[in-house]
Amino acid sequence: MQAFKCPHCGGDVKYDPGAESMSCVHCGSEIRREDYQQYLDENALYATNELVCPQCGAALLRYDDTLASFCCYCGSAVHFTRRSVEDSKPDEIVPFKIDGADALKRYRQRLERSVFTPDWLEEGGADRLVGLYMPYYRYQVTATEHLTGDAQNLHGGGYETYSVDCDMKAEYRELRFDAAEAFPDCLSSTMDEMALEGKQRLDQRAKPFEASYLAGYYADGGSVREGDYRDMLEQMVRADLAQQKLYFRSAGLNVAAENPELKLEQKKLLYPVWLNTHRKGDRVCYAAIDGETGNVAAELPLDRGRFLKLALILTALCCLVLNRFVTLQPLPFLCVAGALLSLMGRMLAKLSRDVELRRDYRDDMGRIGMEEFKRSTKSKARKQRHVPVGFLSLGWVMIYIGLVVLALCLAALFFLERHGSLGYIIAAILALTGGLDLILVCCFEAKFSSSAQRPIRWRFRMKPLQLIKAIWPTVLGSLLAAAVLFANPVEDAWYYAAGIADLLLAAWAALELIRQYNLLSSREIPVFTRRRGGEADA
Amino acid sequence: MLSLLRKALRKPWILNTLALLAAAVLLWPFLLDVFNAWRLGKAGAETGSHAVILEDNAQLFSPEERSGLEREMGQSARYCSVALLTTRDTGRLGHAAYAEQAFDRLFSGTDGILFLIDLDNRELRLQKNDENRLITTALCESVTDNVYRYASAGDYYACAKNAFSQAAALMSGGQIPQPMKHISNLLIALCLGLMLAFWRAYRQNDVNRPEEVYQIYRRAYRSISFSDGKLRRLDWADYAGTLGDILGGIVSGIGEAAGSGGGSGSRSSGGWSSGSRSSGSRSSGGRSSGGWSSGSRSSGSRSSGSSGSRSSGSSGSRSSGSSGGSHRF
Ligand SMILES: [Zn+2]
Ligand SMILES: [Zn+2]
Repeated sequence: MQAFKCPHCGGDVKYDPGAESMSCVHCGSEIRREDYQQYLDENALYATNELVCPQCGAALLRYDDTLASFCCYCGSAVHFTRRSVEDSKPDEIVPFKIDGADALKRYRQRLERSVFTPDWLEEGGADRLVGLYMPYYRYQVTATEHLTGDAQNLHGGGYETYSVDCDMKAEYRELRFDAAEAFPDCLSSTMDEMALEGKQRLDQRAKPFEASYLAGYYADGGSVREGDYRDMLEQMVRADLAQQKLYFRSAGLNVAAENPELKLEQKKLLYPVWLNTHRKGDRVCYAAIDGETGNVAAELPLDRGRFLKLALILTALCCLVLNRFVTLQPLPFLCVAGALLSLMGRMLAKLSRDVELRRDYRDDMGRIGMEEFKRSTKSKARKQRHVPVGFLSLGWVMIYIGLVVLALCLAALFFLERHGSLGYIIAAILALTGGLDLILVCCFEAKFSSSAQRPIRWRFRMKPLQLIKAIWPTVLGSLLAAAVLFANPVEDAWYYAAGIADLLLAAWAALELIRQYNLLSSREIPVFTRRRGGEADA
Repeated sequence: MLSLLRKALRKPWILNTLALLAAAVLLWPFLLDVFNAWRLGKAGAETGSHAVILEDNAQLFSPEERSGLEREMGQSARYCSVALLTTRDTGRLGHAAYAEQAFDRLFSGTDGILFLIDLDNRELRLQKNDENRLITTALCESVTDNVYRYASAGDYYACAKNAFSQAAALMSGGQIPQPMKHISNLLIALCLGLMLAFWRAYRQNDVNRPEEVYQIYRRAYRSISFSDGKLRRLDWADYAGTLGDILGGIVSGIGEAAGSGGGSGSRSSGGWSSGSRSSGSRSSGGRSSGGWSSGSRSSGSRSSGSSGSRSSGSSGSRSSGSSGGSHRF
């Protein structure tokens, strides 16, 4: 059986007899038959066995006839169904250097470094680890643009201004994206960054592909269409260059790269990963151990009991210090309580937002790519793609930092002065930061757009219900504190009551924080809708 | 060292023991409060040799109450002079300045404790020498906190009597119950503890958060070059960042200015962080003898901007300043 795939998107192609060309069922692209034949010859396909997990639908490739009994994606013992398929041959491969026992040792060491991890993560031996070759796309992007405009340069004692007429060349190397939809992007990107920090250059490590490296290991079978990454990568590079204004300016240029010309070089690569899967109830958490460098990227949930015990110990230490040095009068107490609650609330809001992003796979290009692809084959609106870039624009960050600094200054003044009216200002700030900026921080999501002038756009981010769930304690507590501060009653009990209420809300938020954290560091048992090997039988 | 601690904390029995210990530490202040309250109730009746002054300008006490109060004040008189002052008119002075003036007038530089019931501003105030280490300003505030409810209810006798019995307990080296202090500190510590623990947990997690997954500068080497040789060459690291680094620079700049310094999340070795490193001005300001404790703290007026709040701080000519804590009623 020979699979005819589209070179652009990996979908099925069909011979179009009238036009003597091939047309793609998915992306509609037309290729001359001669070109397609040449493509087929160049990308020699090789035959493997495909194992499909009946539970989650993940597909693994195996060169030999071994049948696995443990699915590393859903963490369950299953009988795989097997059939032989042909897969497109990768260009490069990074062979395994670390064996399973070593990988397990590194994983255990990683567990030891953290106090909070639950004991069940330590269960299981080396047989739990699955050695997988993950398909990757490795890119090298070169952006060039001819720049004309003013430049300033240090000359003698001062600046001289002159007009420049030069070429800008920006190179991005070591870019890579895993093409396995089943392998979460958060893990692969973490692994990549660790390798990058270790200055281990991928282009030096990669060897030309030879199938014999695969013997004894699995390879992930689900592959992302390369076009998905191409589009996004171009947008990412454009957005990144547009954000380099500061760099350009500090080089002396007064112009920025507005519309660079991009050249992408792509290589398909197999990368070795030891995948460790723990299943707890209806959640799984993964640990990916880099098969070459041994770096561990592990999702580590918190053990609630351990966490609370440690928090208790820290509380006792804080309490000793506070009782020794600090006696808070009711009003400052309320201010401190409000500030703590607002801090806690912000953490909770941020975490809830992250959880929501992850639950919707919005941080996973492999998954979003598929969803979007299905939608966009009909409509042509493929130009703008949602990619969660969570950073705030610099303006917002400035406003935010300014607000915090202002609040701190006022608080300092207030403690020195204990002037009545400052209480009102702090109350106003508490109310403001408690409500408004939480909404700002967690409501908006950036997305890349193809226009270079505004490469990043904002859109509404959280579902209203999730938002309310995440911020009600902070808003309620801040408003309560603000109300009491404005009313300014004689009776201390009001201040204490509001302060204690705020702190109890904050403690509740902390418990919620643990829950959300555990949701973030584990995932639902995945369900993959296969698309390789023909969607006809799905 | 730290890894040793981590290893120890991973052992359940160590963690449990420490947690129990922590619980005991947290309970201890409250046990102490109960004990101190009990001891205050059965204080002795010795009287001392220092001056006992009772100026009831506001006519709040009956003769029996006066003698009862003088007996109570006598206990503190073992250590220093004591005075009880009530007034319906502080003139144009705030209660704090008024108390300070009266303190100078009555004790003229000697050790003393003055309790003022100010019906003009409806404030209570306990004034003491700056040198008095047994009664800190914070404790003065605790005392007025503990008794202001009597004054609110019009029971000035109980208010003054309790204030002096607590002052006597403090002067004898003992302690007074400060339940609200302990409760509020406990809760603040609880939040801080939870936050610290969570921060620790968050930091230990090295898997990328959603917004970090598609940040190009986190996963690529970038280099930018220009064909114009006259443009400045920048020592820009290969693995250079965009906003994250600028932010890191800002954060570390702030961190340094605040004196905390250290670990900003900046991942690059690039130039921004050094650029924003401004001179961290850490001069903590002229902290004159009584500057913070007397001048600033004493005016304790949440109610209205009381005049003369700073007078005590600025009057540096006197040999001994006094300070105290006060409360509305
Ligand atoms: Zn196609
Ligand atoms: Zn499975």
